[in-house]
Amino acid sequence: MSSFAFFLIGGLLLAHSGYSSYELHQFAKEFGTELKSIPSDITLETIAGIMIVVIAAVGSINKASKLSINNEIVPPQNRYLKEIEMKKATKEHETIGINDYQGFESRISFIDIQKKRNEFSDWIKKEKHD
Amino acid sequence: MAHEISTEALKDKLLNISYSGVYAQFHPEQLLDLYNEVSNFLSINSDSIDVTELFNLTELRFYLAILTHHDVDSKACLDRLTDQFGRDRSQRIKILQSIYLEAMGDNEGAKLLLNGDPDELDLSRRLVTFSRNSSDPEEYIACLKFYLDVQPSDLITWAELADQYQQLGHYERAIFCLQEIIQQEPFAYNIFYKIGLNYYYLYCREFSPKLEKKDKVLESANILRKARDHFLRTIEICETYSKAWLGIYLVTKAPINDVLRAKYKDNSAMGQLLSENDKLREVSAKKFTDLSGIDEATLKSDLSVSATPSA
Repeated sequence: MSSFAFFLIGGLLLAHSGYSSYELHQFAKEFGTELKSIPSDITLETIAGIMIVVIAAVGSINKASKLSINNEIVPPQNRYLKEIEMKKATKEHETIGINDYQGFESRISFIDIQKKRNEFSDWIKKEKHD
Repeated sequence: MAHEISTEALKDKLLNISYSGVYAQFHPEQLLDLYNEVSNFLSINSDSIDVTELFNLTELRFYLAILTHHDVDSKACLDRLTDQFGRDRSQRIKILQSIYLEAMGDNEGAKLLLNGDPDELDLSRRLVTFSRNSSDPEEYIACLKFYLDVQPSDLITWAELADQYQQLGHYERAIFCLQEIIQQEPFAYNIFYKIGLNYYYLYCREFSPKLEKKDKVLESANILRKARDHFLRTIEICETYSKAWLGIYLVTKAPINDVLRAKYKDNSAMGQLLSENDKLREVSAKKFTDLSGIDEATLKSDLSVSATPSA
């Protein structure tokens, strides 16, 4: 919400500085005077407007939480960027339960379908029995 | 809690599971839950998600349906995929078809489907699995090796071969296979852990407290050091990998430490090994108990019962 206010203020400042500059140029055209430079208050207003918009943009970054394979909500590790050090960046993989090298452990292309199916039917039978 | 889970997060989770193939190691109960989750997700969201994601999730649903005996649904998923991508053009689809046939008990039909073209390497790789039988594990290994001669850069197959060797107790060969993976994926920390584990098993086989010969003892100590160093490398890449912390703890508690302390303390290399192990003991126990939630007393009492970390 606060970032919305910043966006609004920044946007208004930018619009106002643009309008001021337009007025100034109209005035100069009307009276045939040559403008050497734009007055500093307009420049300053523009810079301030841009800065506030940038602050609002950075402030409104909101990384979504992730889900671990056990359906636990894992909030993002850092608000803006990922960790630089590898040993810290990989922490997130361990909390989620899937790492980049999981394929070497799961090896889905070598899965023993019959064995897994038998395991499942044994389990189901046991569950029904209980 | 359920209402807080956004569709986007759920989709990301399911896609992640699909890409990593992690469900291959799931317990039946987890498989059934996941199957229900995917089916529900697809029946609600199939119109609103991206087409690529839709077909990836359909593939996941196919596998889960097969594994949980939902044969009608698996056939429906397979038909949906073949309608979209054609019967013969994609290796991935052919593999799905062969898996369906295999699950229905038609092994010959599945083999025939995979046998078509020797250039289609993914199919050849799947064909290798048909040589797997419990009475003769060597045959499966021979087929894996034959495939690796054709395609030496296939890392998944190296991992499978390592697993087979480990099951048979050929730990040195398993380590060799795992090192092949490390050469191409130098940050695969779970592989470093597995190398460490294989060294640890090797140590457990080589060493017994009754060993008299000095060479044998020192050799075992060196194997144990390698195990510890590989566990440490895992920690260097991922500091919350609790299994590796447990591995380090087991190494520092291994009975060979006492033998070394009693007899070979003057050997400079062994002296260093002992002092390093002493430093690591408390740290690793603390880290492991912090990460796993198991308290230290349970850890110590469990160790006296069994002295091998889990695979």
